[in-house]
Amino acid sequence: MIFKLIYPKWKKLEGQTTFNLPPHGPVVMAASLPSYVEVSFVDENVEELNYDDECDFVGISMMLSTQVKRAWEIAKEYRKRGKKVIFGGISTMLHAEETIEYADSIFLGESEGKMEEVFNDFRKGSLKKVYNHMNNRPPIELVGPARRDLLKRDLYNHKGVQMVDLFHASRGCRFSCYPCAVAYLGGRQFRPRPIDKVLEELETIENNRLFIVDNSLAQSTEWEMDLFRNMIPMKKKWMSHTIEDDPKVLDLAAQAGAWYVYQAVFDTSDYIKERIKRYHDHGIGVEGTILLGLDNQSEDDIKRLIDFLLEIDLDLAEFTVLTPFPHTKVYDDLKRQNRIFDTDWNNYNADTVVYQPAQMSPERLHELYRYAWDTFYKDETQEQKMFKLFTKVVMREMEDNTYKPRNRKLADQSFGKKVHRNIN
Amino acid sequence: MKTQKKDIDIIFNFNGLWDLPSKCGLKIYYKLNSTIVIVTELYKENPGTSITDVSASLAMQICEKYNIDLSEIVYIESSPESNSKLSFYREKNYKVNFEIDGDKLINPTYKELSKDDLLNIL
Repeated sequence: MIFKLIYPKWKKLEGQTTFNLPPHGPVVMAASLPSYVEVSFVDENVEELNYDDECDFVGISMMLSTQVKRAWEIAKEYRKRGKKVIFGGISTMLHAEETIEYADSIFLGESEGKMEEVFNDFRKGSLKKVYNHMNNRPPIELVGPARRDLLKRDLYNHKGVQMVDLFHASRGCRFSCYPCAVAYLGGRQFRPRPIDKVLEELETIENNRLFIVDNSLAQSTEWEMDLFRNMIPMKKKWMSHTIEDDPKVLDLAAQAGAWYVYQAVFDTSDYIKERIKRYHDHGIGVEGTILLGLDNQSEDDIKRLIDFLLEIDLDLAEFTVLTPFPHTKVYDDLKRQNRIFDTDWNNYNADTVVYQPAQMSPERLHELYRYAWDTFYKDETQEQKMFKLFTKVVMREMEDNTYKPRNRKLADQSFGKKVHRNIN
Repeated sequence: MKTQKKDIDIIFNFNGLWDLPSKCGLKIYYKLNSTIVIVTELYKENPGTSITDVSASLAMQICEKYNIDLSEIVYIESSPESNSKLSFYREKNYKVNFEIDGDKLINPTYKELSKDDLLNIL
């Protein structure tokens, strides 16, 4: 049986360097499919989708709100051709009530141990409209190595440089961050994978560079330190979301190959400044993630925040506009205040202002958002700063003999497309 | 003669979206001509759906459990201060009005209440 698994495309943000990373959700889900299922995976962000390719059953995996409308279009097309379509992934959970209108079936929750039932039902012609496993999470030990063999490697390559592989060591989040829906999606309980399972999966990943996509690794010091300690011999290099800034943890993280981490910067406090310094003192780079448009931010606050970012010597910064994704506290607050004026999910890209900010007009917030990008990258472009970070990882790989030269055969390609090379 | 019922102050377990087990703070004040219901968001202590994500369904679950007439309910959502440095976790209270559709509450609309507004209602 051929299961066509599709990852819909979305519009990339203007003025930003586009890197297509290999998707994670679909290949994690694919690992839980029954063995008789043959998967044909298409990532529309890097390749064309051909509706006429042979398949028996269609699955659409959605991660972002900006994918949902495209995903619905794809489903319509397949259903017109008589194919059954099932949706899954985190954005299916966020947009379930609407998505169900475009689907033969939706799957809510985590797929491990649950797909046998879905495929049996499909084969019997009795697919259920909803497979609701939101409150029936599988034991975390069941999470096995993702099906990275499904990825067409050459398509995730920029001028010969392989993109990082995505990987997760835990699920769920005990924090309750204002703009985030993770607690709704993965539960409020931190569920670390057993270290031996994590290591078993890491062994299967040929790529030396990883993005550990866990919501936050800073949820259990003991587990976090154990994870890093065990990763040291693997000599992987990785980026991740927040890790604890305790020197003991940072020391192990650095030895385990921490390349750079994402750090939310909400204010101009000494706490943030010192935290970033501690990362840097351990040789770990920092990409600041900066949310603009919070109710307590005035125009002056935003400008001061950008000056502060330059002062604390961040390696990279990523600015986003506050966006009320469904099932977040932001959404609840703005909905109750009747401040959401745009519900076109294509605009929920964290670049478009879809709500009325508290202290300025939506247009002014968007101008400040552009100002933030332009000011931060005025002296050194985003590509130049990225190249500096890239150089750091290459140096470290050369030191521990893990460096692999770029693939010369793909030097004139970027994500599957021919590019012009500047050779001076 | 209508008997005065005893006010209620409990943690209420409710069915969230997609049957997610969820919790909120619940206070019920029985007045002469109305029943004031205050539901409070519990943030990290709530394993499931927020009170606002399921306003109408939660109000109906409470009405059903405590035999409150849908037309008599004065329904208030409260998001308490969470001791965060971030201003968006300051206390906010909203009066929620619903349309009654047969035996159902639908289409919630929200009006922010000041402390004085809240005290006046109570």
